[in-house]
Amino acid sequence: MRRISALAVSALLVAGVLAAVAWNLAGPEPRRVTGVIGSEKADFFADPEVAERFADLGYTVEVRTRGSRAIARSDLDGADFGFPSSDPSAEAFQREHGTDREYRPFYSPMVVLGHRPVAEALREAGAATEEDDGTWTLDMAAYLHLTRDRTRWRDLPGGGYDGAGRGELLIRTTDPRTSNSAAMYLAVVSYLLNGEEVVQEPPGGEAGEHIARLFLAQGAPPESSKQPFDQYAALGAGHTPLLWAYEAQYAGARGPGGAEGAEEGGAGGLPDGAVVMYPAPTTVSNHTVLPLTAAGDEVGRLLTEDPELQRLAAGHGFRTSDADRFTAAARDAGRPVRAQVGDVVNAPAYEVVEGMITRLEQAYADGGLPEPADERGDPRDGGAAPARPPGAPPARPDPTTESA
Amino acid sequence: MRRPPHRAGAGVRAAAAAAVLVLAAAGCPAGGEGSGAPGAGELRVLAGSELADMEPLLERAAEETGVEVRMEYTGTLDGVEQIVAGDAEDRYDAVWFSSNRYLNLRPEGRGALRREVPVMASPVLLGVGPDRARELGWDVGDGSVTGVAWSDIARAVDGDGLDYAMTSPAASNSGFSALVGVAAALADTGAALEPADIDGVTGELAGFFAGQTFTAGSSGWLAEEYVDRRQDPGDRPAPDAMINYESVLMSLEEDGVPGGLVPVHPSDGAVTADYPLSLLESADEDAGRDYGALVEHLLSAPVQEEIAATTHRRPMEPGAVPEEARGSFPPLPELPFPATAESADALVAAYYDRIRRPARTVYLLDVSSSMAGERIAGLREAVHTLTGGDADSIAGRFQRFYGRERVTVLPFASGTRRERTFTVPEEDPEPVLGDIRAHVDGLQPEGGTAGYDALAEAYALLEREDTGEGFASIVLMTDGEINSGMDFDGFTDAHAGLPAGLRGVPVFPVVFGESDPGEMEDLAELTGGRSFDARGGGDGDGAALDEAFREIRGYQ
Repeated sequence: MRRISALAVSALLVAGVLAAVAWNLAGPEPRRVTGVIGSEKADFFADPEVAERFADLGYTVEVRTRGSRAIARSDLDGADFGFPSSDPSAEAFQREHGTDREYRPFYSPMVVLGHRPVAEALREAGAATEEDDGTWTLDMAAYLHLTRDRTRWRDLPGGGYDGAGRGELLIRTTDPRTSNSAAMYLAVVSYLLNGEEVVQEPPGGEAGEHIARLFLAQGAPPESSKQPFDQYAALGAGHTPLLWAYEAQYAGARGPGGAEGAEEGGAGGLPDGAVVMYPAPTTVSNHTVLPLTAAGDEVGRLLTEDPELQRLAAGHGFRTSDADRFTAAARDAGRPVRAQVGDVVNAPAYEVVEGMITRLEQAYADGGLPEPADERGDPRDGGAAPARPPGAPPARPDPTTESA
Repeated sequence: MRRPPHRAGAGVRAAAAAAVLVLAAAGCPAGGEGSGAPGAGELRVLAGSELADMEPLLERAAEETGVEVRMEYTGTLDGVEQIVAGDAEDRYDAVWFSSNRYLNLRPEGRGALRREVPVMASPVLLGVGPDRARELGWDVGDGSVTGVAWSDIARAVDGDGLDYAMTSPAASNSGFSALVGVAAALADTGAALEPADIDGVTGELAGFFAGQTFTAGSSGWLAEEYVDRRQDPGDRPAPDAMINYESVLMSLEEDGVPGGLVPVHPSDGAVTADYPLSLLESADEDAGRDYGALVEHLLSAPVQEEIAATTHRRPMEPGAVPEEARGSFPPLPELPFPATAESADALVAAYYDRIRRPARTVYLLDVSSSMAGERIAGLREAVHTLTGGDADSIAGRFQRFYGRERVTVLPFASGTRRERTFTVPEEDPEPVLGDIRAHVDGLQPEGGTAGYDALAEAYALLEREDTGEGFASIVLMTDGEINSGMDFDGFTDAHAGLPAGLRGVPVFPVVFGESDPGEMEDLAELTGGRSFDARGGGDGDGAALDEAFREIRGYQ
């Protein structure tokens, strides 16, 4: 009896010591920080290596995904930071919440993902070029010309592409009403249809109709950028000949090249014969951390300054301040990428993007194309808005002068 | 082989909960093997009935992630309605249907989902016996017909009498997808269909859908009946072909269908179901984590391989199909789904009111004395729904009596009362629908229950007219044992003496009140119909009757 109690006592002692050791090793409980992010960054935050690194730095980061417009507007319910994916969204967020601090840990140019036979048909039609680095360039002006004429894939000049049935040449996008990726597409096509000027008000007339048709003719749009990417990857060239995507979706995906990175995430690899096309011009998705609390600020700082987190971001296909790291990671994964993306246009001001989206919303609700702009009357002032709200911090790296 | 009566609107009344299945690995500790697996919870999922074949995979998911999935099944349209009405929020964390496209056309629907991740895919295709395909001059390759466009199928309907089974587009996603895909292909605009395109293609669509000789409200029941009829048609129409998910066609072929069943992979493409597992906006954080763990598990390479091998759905993981099996999943162009609710609604309305074979329906309504009170009120409510009384709901729009439909109301008690027949016009149906409503509102309960005499009368009525190419059917609603006039054996004999064409007219009995479910099931079996259980909580409440009547619309 006595021996048993003695044993029990020593067991308790041992347990106590172990607990103390564990406490010392683990340090204090990590601080819980919550953020509201665009869905295209969900895989990054779900990566156990990212979570582990944050834990080492003393944080547990929990995220909720929201469409880019919703991030600016929604009740953030005690969140410590927002993390939208474009300048207009960031601008709207800061205005909404009266904040001005920001971190830009990484960015991603927009690309068009295709399949080799599709890209070759576009080349024969004079709309695409294969570059020496293994990437392609998609001439967006030529693309708009072909879509204005409602050209079908099989009727493309130079032979066409037969795998898309009766379908018209159209880039698959997400839903412009909810998704940032589609808003980026809007920035590029509106620029071209506005005589190569960033639009200062939502285009009406023929240009407005053309823009609406680029979306509505695709049919019901997918809600988020992950869904059409998975379909592009899994269901073949006929299903999704061309997809508007973040470069990071391509560079960070698994695939025939056998990349690291998203391995535990399951589907999302690239199909055989995948090609990446850089639209000329394209635009850049600037992922911007917008802190609402001191803890949120710290997360923004760590994402930007911690070399390990920067390395992990590059592994997920994002371009970080060290551009060579991104290029090397993508090449290691067997993904050709363009070292320098030169032909880039800026997104229009927030009001203008909102105005364009509102018109598209109307077009979806009306079941057809919008009426000419002058008959509709836009409640917004539609005038040239300042590119940044007053008091916005400067020192935003200009994507047009990006260095490799 | 007697099947239990189909419980109407099973998903709506969670309290009934007959279809609830808890997929729990009993005694399995949470956490599983993956160190990062956060799940310890239960994920409540409102799911399309076609996903029942995922149960074995979900059991495995419970073992490996600790997330127990509690599936409750319902039809696509019913599910959409629950989500749009906000009824799903409290009871479920996630929804899982073959497609969210229809839901996403509704603004309330789009706002209801936080995340949606497609887990697998299956295009909606025509399946046909290889011999019949060769007769049509089609190229039957290795387990698939290729080189055929939807317009070629339309020509085979017109020139060679090809006929097929397809579900009702207002009740089931496979029928809806087929309608949308065929319309996009035949309109041949190269882009998503707009309302203005529909008039131009109505004639061609009528030609295509002239081949639809059998309809149902559920793709599972359609497949089951199709096989049953191929085996032993009896007097029932047994079509050459069936429109269904590629996965259903392949599974049936694997199990062995008399005459075989190979999918036609159209050169101009199809509409693909993508089975998005979708987290509701209202779900709490724990559910969100469990959802994340489940999605990750389902998309992992080994599970994707199993999905492809056991359910014949296309995996979202390109490498999950072994090299030698890739031929069975040839890449297909995707036919565009309408961008707007207006286009989709206009197409569905055109299908019912102008395109498909018109419906010929006889409603045998029990007005015996036991129907007095709540029951007759429930019956009136059900008829109000069918006459478009609730135009705001999806049901009100698509489950009402269709344009060109001939509707006979034949009340019975101890004997049959006077019948009245209404023809719903294509344009401006409201006055006639109003007449039907008023007529049923005026029925007064009194006397016994002579159900089989009424049935015989209904067949006699159909015999006197030429129902021609339409979908003729009889609904028998009775709240008690049939205790007056002819009995079931007597009716069986009378049925055998009917002309062949009439013997194939199905009866859809509604089990209500004290009516005999077994006998009603036998009656459905005898006539090629399906029985619907509207007993609700057990005493026949009105809401269940309304649901049963609406559900039957999918079969008419």
